[in-house]
Amino acid sequence: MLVTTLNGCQQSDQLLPFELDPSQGQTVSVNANGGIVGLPPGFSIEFFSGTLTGSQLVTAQQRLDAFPSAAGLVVPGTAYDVGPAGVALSPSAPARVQIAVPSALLEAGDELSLTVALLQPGGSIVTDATSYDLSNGIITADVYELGPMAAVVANDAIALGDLADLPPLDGGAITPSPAPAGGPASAPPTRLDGVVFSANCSPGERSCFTSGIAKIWVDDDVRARLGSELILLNTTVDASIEFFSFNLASLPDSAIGHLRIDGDLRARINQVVASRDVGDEVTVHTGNGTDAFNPDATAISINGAEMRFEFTSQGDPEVIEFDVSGVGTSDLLTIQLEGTLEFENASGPPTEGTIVAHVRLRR
Amino acid sequence: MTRWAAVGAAYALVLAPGALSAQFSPGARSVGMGGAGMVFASGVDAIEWNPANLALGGGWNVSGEFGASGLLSGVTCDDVGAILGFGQCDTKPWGWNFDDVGCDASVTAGLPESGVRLSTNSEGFLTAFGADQADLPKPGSPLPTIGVAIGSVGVRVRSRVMTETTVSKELLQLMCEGFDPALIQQYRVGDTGFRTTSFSEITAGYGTTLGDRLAVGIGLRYVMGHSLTQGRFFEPVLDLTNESIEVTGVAIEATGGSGYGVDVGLALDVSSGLRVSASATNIIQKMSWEEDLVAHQATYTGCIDGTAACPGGDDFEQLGFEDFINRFEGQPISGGSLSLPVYRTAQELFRAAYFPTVLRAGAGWRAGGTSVELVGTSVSPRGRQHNDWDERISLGVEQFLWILALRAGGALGSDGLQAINGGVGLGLGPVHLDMSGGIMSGGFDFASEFVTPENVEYAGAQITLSLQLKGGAR
Repeated sequence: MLVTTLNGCQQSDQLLPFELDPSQGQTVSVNANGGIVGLPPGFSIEFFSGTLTGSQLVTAQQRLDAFPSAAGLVVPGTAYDVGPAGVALSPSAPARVQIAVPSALLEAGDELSLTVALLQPGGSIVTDATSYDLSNGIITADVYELGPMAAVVANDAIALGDLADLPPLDGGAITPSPAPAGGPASAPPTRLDGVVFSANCSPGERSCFTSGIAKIWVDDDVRARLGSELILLNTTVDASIEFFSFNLASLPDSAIGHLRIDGDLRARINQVVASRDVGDEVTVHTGNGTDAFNPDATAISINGAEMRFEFTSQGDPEVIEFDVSGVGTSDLLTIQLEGTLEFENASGPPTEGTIVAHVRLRR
Repeated sequence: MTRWAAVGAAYALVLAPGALSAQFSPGARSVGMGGAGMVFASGVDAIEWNPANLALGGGWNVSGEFGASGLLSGVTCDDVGAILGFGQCDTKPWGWNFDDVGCDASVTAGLPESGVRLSTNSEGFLTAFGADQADLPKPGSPLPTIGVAIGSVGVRVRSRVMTETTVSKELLQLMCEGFDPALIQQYRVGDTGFRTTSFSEITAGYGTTLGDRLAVGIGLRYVMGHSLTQGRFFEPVLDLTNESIEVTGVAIEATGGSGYGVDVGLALDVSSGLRVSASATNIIQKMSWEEDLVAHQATYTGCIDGTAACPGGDDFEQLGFEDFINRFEGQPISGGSLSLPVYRTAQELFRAAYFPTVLRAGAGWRAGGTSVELVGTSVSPRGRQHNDWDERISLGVEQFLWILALRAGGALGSDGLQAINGGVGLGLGPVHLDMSGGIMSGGFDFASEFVTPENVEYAGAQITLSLQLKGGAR
């Protein structure tokens, strides 16, 4: 009781000398050697040596206007205007942005999709791979340009399935284009009028998630290293395959094209959400060349649900499963790509996990 | 032993000797008696224990003292020996060998999920000396602990460094087993951080009798703060592409401060050598720290040597303790240039950064050359500038045999902490040399019949050496 009574005589906590009103902005002169612009308790941006080429007055203040929702759901109170908007930063030494995002503001599972969105002067929004510290509620991202930015729960997250649940592909007929009016019906198409399947989606335009262009699965080895909850964020699909000659059975016997999936594989590692680039693992182009965007043609043959490409960047030959289905007046070609994710070990060879993608191309 | 283990070992060595001292400070007599010693404290010891005793002892006394104490919570001494590669405590109780011993998952599996905590309290002189030897920044003033008491008046100067360090279980696993990408899901910084307070105190005490048996006393203390540092590590930024981790540590430092405290005491000689005693330290106090803060920030990279993502090598393997410390670069804090980690760390700096009121009450009996004391200590929950082991009940005995003084005692602290102590003193005329020490644990086998262990692991020790000149006492 005496101790309790004496507590009343104890001093109160000393206040920090820099408690700031977050509604007030900050302007700091930052030079090529680096610096920090802070707006505690919610925001800071750190410039490293070489991030800026010269001296620059950098401002940061809480954003009053609504942040565009194109990239996803903006976490309340996490939008900031950082200026001068449009100032480009060094690609080799980007600035590091940190925004306080209390985990209590997030729905279960949203932490995987949490990212920092940057509104560019043209109105487009870019998001970058981020790291989210769940213990401290701080999201960290590298930015390559100044401008309005906010923490958003991205709306193009693609959940990764279990490889055991991978649906089979049934093959199907890839038929040549109808012959031009007046021409011979049996004449094979030329390269100019071949059958072209293509798919394109990206975060800024047509979302890969909403379009359903890409679906992805991983095996247990990947989950053992990265956890059970995995998503692919910032997914970009760029695919085009042209079947430009057909045999007498009207089956394609040559093709040219490429298929590439890029994205950030997001995983929760204990108290941290982190990213891993996915790209090279699920990329293929035809022919022997090294230029994915200017590929060479290759001979192909079809056997059931398998399409054999004689020469590709992945292997010679490369057998790829496929499926063709009709949608309205068009055909959908689903291509299965398989890649390997390598994980280093402290000793011994790397652990190899498998990632499989289904990419749906439209004729 | 990995470099991280070396870092931990060096940290323990530098801080722990500074840590291994003031467990039951002040005074070698008190340490030898398990933290009791207040009832019949005399001379310089009485200035901080109970100033009322100054009026009961008389004489004169000049004292110099060294000591340190440290307590690890959540881990056994054997575990520490294995993690740091020192050896097994139980097989070499008075001197660990430095042979590498195996540290595998079985060692860290039993550690508490909340991590391991190290609390230390050391004389500033020892800490400064240790830091100087290790070529590290000196944490505060190197003032030695000295005091003088003449009659009912005394003055003591003391410089102290107090630390609290918490390390997550997962980080200890990293120290123990080394970085393994296959275990990356297990790594967690958690509450890993530290807090260091360095200050010097000048305490003046005065005691007076009220009648034949009752004495009261007052102590006035001026506190000169040297530094107050709050540090923490943040969860790593993980690069899953290159399978590397980047850990950021931030320390915020107030580079000075000042304050005062008022102590009161009371002692009553009941009869036939029986005395009851009570004191209150910091019954009034104030501590203010400088507002010109300095932020120290450092980033460490864990990666696989030889890979493209590891051009500078794995910091967790390569860095020595000096490199580890020296990577912290200090910059004055200005309001508009705060990073979020710095701000978050700073928020903890001033929280309860003052001294709590400490109440002590005890009874003792003295006859001939024998003294027995039972002392209880209670610490106000407000104010965090105190030791983990301050709140306790201590029982101690002292026996004089010609020129020797033999002391023994034990203590039962809060949260299941137990301590056994002992000490010896040698008195040759006015010259008295006292040395005391003890160990702390969550339970001792021999005492388990009397005190049931609370299944909390502790590993701690303390040692104090004092040299006194005294004479003329009643």
